[in-house]
Amino acid sequence: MDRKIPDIDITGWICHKCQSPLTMVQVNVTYMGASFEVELPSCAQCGLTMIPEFLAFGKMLDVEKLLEDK
Amino acid sequence: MDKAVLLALEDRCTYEEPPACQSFCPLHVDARAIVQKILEGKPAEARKTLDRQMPLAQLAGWLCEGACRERCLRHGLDSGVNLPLLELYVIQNSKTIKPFPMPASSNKVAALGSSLGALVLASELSRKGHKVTIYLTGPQGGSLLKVLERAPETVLAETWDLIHFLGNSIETAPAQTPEFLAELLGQYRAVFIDQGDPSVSPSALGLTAEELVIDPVTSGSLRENVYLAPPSSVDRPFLAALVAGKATMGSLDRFFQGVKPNVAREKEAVFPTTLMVDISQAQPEEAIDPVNPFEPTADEIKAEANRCLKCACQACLAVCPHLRYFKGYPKKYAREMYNNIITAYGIRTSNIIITSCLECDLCKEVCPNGADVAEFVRKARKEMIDTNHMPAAAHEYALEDLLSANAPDTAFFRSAPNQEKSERVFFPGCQLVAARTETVLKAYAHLNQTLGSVGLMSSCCGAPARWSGRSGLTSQVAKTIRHLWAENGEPVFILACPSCQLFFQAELPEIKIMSLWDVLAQLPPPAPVQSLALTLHDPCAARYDQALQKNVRRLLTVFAPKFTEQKFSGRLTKCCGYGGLGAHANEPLGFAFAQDTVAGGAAPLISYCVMCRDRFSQTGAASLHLLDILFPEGDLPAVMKRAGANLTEKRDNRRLFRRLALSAFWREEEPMPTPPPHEIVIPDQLWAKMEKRRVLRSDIESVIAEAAKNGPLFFNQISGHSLANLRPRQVTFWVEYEKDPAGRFIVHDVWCHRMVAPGSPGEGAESPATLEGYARTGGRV
Repeated sequence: MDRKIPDIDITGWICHKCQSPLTMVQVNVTYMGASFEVELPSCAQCGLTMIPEFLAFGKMLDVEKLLEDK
Repeated sequence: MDKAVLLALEDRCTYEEPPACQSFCPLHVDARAIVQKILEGKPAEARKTLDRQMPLAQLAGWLCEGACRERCLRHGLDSGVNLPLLELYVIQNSKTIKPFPMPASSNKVAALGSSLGALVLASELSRKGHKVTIYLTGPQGGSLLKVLERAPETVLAETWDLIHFLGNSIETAPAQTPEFLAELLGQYRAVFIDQGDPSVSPSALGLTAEELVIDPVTSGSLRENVYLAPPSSVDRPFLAALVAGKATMGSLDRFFQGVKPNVAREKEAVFPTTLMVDISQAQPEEAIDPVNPFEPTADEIKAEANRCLKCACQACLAVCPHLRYFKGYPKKYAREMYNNIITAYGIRTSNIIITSCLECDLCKEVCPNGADVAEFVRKARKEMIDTNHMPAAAHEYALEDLLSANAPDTAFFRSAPNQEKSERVFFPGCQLVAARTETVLKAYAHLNQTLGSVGLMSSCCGAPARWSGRSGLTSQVAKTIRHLWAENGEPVFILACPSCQLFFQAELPEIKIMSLWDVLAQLPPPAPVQSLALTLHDPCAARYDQALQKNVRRLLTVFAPKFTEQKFSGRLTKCCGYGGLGAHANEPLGFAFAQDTVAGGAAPLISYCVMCRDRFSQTGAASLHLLDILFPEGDLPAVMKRAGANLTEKRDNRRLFRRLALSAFWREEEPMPTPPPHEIVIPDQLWAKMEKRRVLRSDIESVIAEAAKNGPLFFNQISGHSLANLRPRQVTFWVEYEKDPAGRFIVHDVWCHRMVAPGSPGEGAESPATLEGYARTGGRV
């Protein structure tokens, strides 16, 4: 997976618990024992990560399929 | 997987075999490809194909005697395609490309005589760096001079130019004596005697008749290092000369590399092809008679090329969207799937081929050799499961659905009301119960009234587990059914679903089964006769069950006498896309199957499998289930246009069926399900997305319940929407919603993924229990 996913629109979104804005942060996503570093919108304070719809059915789905075929 | 399984399937598929014109051509010219290029208006491309098999095509194209014509499948119909004419057109409309000269080797060869055999040998051998000296024994060109009278003078001249260009040389033989032959054999590594040149005299060279017997494989003789082209008196002398020159080149090339001349030459001789071709639809078409047979026009040639039947085995490809989707055929498939299975490291790129096959058996039925792809897929799936290489997502939803259908709040077994044990038990199947809840209840009431002593069992038979290759889960589900059957007096099972029937026959052979349609055909009619014109579709699971097919037709003859047959029916019926869980693994392909099958019938379709009915309905086609006309629920034209139940409704309906049946027939009142604590509004337009993503309303309810308890994860200050998620199994569901002033949760969007992100539910969690494990704990009936 590319480390940076372009054009993630996080306008207006804040972490509900911390009330902090989201920033793009390198995080580890994992599946089937493999992990990837990817830049995702996350809470600046608690690090909670948001996975937007277009990513879930775009690149993330591609990588899930790839890992399942591994 | 045992390699014998692969080889057995490969052996049965003749797709890669050449057509008869090619297998019986001494040069194995790919006539099919040449015809194709001519029809595309690309003679230069056709020339490339011709050059690959026919040496010195610019010359040989004038001389080919067309051994293929009497082998052409048109031969019995009218006359074989005139390939020599096509070859002539190709060489007249393309350029001869001079090859890049190879560095000269030290191997030198002499050729006596200068007819076609010697020229071919010189041309072919020098392309590999071995130079040939042609010794003239008479006029340069030998017997070619006379036959080429109708060809432009330049043809032979250009050939000699090419021979020179390739570094070969021409000398004049001083005399044809045994001494001269001995001198040549001392000077050159081999000598080729071109008997096609009438001026060559083998006897003068001291060769005995015994020594002139030509080895059909190597073109060698009994005299060491002497190779021969046959005399021009043989049948089709020019093809024989072409073969001799080419074969000698093959022998010498091996010899120079220290390999025996007869090694690996099995494919060079002519052979009968095993390619299966159906020409039953071919119409007679007379061969064209060109105005000038030595210069055919493009139109004449296209007309002749169009006579080619393009022999190919297309039987399975013609009927299977799966084979067309992956651009395969059984032999290719078998290799790809086998390689996929034995991949020890790396990406298993053909998983999707295996997981999305419908296992419907149609390819085997239409294959003249019975190539059984479905059986191969079944073995492949089982091995993928056993070695833990089955992609989790492929069939997961269908298996979860199985477990849900067999969960205690949905499944049940009851002997006939007021009876401890019943003679029979009606087993409608989980899909029919989900799609036709009220109708199945009516059918059960009818059975009980007319037949008496009929119990009822609602659960999934286990077919999805079997389709997906999960033997553990399959046995587990079968064991539960077997246990209930044995415990309740071993009743006869009355089955409504052809897939259930297949499952029972395979996994529960000890249970006596009857088809619902067989039973109903013998009972008093439950419904009025319908005047609708319907097209009957046989489900693929009923392909081999002639008794079932017959009983359905008996019923239809009574209740819908205007019914007609699908184009593909009975043993040759097509699958709707659900078989083998194909549509779960590959939705677009599953849809293509439904469309393909719907195209086989004009009138509204009627099937006796509700999955077929619902999948046809997804394509927009009007369709009915057989129960719809036997136990009508409202206006039939409206019913046939109605969409099938969605995934959420199906699960709800199965639970509803249990409650209604237990209440109506056994007076067992079950508590109403607890309504969700929050009112959730899902807009109509979101349902299609949910179906595609296999998201249920209960998934959304779980996420909202979690958010209502602990607050959402994210909030959008502009739209006012909240975002929450939950990972109830291997999938994380996200729900974007807002709470309106009335306290209702309005859902705006929903999506899901399988990966785990930091702070998300599922992070650090143990792997969820296997489906088999889940079945053991949650699959009790």
